[in-house]
Amino acid sequence: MRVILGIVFSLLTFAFAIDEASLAAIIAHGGENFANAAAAQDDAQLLCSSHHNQLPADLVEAFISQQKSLIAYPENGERLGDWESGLAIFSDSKKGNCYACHQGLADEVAAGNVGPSLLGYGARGQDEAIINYTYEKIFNAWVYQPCSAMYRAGVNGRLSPQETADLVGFLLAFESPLNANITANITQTPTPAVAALSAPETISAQASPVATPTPPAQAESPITQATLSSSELTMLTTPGVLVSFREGLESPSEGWQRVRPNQIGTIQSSEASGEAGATFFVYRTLEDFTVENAADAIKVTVGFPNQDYIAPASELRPVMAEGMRVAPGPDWSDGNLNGGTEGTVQSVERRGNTTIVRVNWDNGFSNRYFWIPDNYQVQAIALGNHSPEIGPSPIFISSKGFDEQLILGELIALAYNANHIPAEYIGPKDGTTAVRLALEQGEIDIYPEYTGTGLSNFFLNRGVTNLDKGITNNQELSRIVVSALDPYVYNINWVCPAPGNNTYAFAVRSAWAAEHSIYNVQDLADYINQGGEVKLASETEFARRPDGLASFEELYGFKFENFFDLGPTQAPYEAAVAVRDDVDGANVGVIYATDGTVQAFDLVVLSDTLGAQPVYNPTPTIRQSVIDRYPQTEAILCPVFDTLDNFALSSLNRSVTIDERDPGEVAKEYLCSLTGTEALSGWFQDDSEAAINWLDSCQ
Amino acid sequence: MKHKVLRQKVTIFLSLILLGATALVVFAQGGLLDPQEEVARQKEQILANSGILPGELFAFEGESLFYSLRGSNNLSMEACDFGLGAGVVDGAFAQLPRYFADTARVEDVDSRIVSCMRDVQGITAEAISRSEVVAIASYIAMQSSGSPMNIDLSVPEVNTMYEAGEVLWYLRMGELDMSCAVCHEDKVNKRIRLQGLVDVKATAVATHWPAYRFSNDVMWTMEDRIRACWNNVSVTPPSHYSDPLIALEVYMAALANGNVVDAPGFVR
Repeated sequence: MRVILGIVFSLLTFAFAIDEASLAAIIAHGGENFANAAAAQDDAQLLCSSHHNQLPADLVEAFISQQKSLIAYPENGERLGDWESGLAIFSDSKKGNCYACHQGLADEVAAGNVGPSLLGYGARGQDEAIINYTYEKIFNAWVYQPCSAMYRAGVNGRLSPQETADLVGFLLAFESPLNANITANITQTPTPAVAALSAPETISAQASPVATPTPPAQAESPITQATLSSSELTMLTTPGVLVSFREGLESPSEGWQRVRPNQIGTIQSSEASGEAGATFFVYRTLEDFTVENAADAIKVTVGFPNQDYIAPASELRPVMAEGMRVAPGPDWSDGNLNGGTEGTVQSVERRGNTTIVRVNWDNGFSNRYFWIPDNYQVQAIALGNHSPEIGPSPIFISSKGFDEQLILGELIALAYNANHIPAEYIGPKDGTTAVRLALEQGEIDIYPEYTGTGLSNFFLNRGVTNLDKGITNNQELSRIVVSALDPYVYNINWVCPAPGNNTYAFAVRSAWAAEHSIYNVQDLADYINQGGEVKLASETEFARRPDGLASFEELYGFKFENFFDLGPTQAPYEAAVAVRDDVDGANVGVIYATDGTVQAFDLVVLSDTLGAQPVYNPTPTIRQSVIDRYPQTEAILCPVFDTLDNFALSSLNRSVTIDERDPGEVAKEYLCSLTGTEALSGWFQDDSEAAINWLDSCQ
Repeated sequence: MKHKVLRQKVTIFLSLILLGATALVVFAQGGLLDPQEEVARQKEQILANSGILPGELFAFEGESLFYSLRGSNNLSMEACDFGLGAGVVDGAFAQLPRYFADTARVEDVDSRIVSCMRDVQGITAEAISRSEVVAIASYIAMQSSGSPMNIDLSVPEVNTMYEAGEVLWYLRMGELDMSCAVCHEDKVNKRIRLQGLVDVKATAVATHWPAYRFSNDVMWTMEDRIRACWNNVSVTPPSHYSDPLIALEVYMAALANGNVVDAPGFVR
């Protein structure tokens, strides 16, 4: 035993102070079974343990490929199994035990929240890429997120390949109760041909028709009639009250834009129309609607962010808002803890389809309650001091930690604010993995990401597609792949990539460029091949990496002979200084194309016209829920991002990096400078008040 | 004799108040109560009904056992050294686990009680009941309430246990790929089912164990707590009084150094 433990722990102990013999002895003292369990650790567990679940970047690639090799598939190859068996596995604590961490059934009150809620997961569709991703994530979660809290159900033998496939069925099947609230939407959303993305040439076509999933029975089901209390009716006819459609009624007929489950609108006006037996026309059926009860007879106009609807009051429900008066709802489960009293809503938390309200009951008791489809623990009985001005929670924006990201984060928040939409830049997260995770899990709503980074980190490295890595060097294809895949795998949208490209590039003094007419890499290659004198200032790593300098030399057919080596660390700033000051004769430097030094030092970036390097266009990556809430998102952000070419980005970066100004201030100044130009002519079309406020703030 | 009567009282008393506690737990499941609020409310309810907390009842039982003359040597536990000299219990728990030269190992309160019963009182291993150890541990811990935790890591043996504890804290094992850190460092304040995940380091949990758990009506020492964690994640836990448990206890207790002991605790 000692020997085995010694070997096993030799990997671990390098990261800790304790010597392996002492550790092995301590573990052995816990008894044979425990010691065996500790000794049974596999390489991956050991790595995660010794790195405290934060795998260093240089180990990630090998880790993922080793984990990927452990995935086994059902013998018949079918990865979309039986959802009913999947449901049983999901809820069985001896099998999947999934509900311990994830909400999978709306009425499971004991579901944990360590992982995200999976309600509506099937909205991603059933393309092969999504089925594969889902299967592999369950079988071996560490392929997609090394060392995550999620256990490797298949690898550890807890679930067989067939059981894994059945869970995939439970997550993706239209009939699965997990997808009850989105089934209606799926049939109306054309799914892009993600599966066709397996070869680059088919991407640009983008036209492959998609098999539409079987329409669910929802279309034929009769409209549910709800009996409204008089207090509910009063609320539903009061202008300013926030409402949503009752379940099953979110999807109006063709010709009307979809309303998402729980999308929130505001009552505009109402009118009584006839009496029972009368008929009138509403959006729901595109047919005459027969008035069957008093509530049907009230037609209410509801303003949603994208469109107004007219609907019978019986189809609506006042949503929870601060200050509202409430009573126990149909799914009340707090016994008599409220002493039979009514309560006031103290706060409302909305996350996706889930609303959680905190209620202060009049007897002094306070608790939090679900207010979600099929689980209304409380219900509104009066407006109370609810004021309709209380807006939805702001859009939360974050970024990575370097200057360009700080500026872009601030820029996105400011653009929304200028258009009277609450948005807040909450500061940077620590690196790509952290900020992306925060976005996937809904902690934040938006952050700026680079197309090349997104493509390789979230899709190629996670194995979501098996496209050739070289695709990252093609600007158009990179954009198409991320914007086609991300909404369907992760519910995240890439909205308007900027033309700027924050990639490795060669920079030269502008006077030198003019003197020799060198403006792109081909010009430089020709100059060198004709015997021009060139010395390259570069960090060591770029000069040696096969996908670094060598990729340029191969593609353009030239060779650098003279180097000014800046050392092992990334040193684009030093390279720029070396070129500016002609240090040691350096006249070409390796920098990032959008660096502030380009502006500050009067340099020219040579365009990589043939695509030797991956393309990194900064792009707002946005959760679907934000687009649903603010369909004008594109109209707001795209005019700004369209202006962000290398020159603009480099100017912005200069202000922060070199001039040491505040990123928020720099972003504000930039947006103000765009105001009145052609770029922002699409803003403020229907909102002159916002326009005036914005202009005032720019004074 | 006195102790026998007390035990009977304790048993009746507990079964009465726990009936009330169980009913409350059921309500709480529906209502999404904040775990901390739920604890506060349960505590209030039990105090209002009975004027005393279950943990204290266990401690009183432990006190009675502590001062009873027992074993082949017919001694009370006053003859035992819990680190501050024979018979001294005030403040002793705040410095446990610590190194004891007589047994030549680092011992936690559980292990030290067993050593005392076995070596000083002369009680055979088979006759040492776990429930008695827990009760006595509750008593000893209560006598440190108000004292700051103070684990001395300059003692080499203690330091080694601390380092082993750190390794164990992060050790991912078993078919659920779990470690202590996943729940109690990475995912704190989330819930696994209805059980809130306590931030072990930030809340200095070592200061309020042994604790009474109202969700399943038991008195547990930290050893029981750790063992249950491992059981829950499909790993056979180390046996009672063994080094892996004590190593983790040293780790958690040392990280709680300076925080004031408030035991026995009251948890979900």
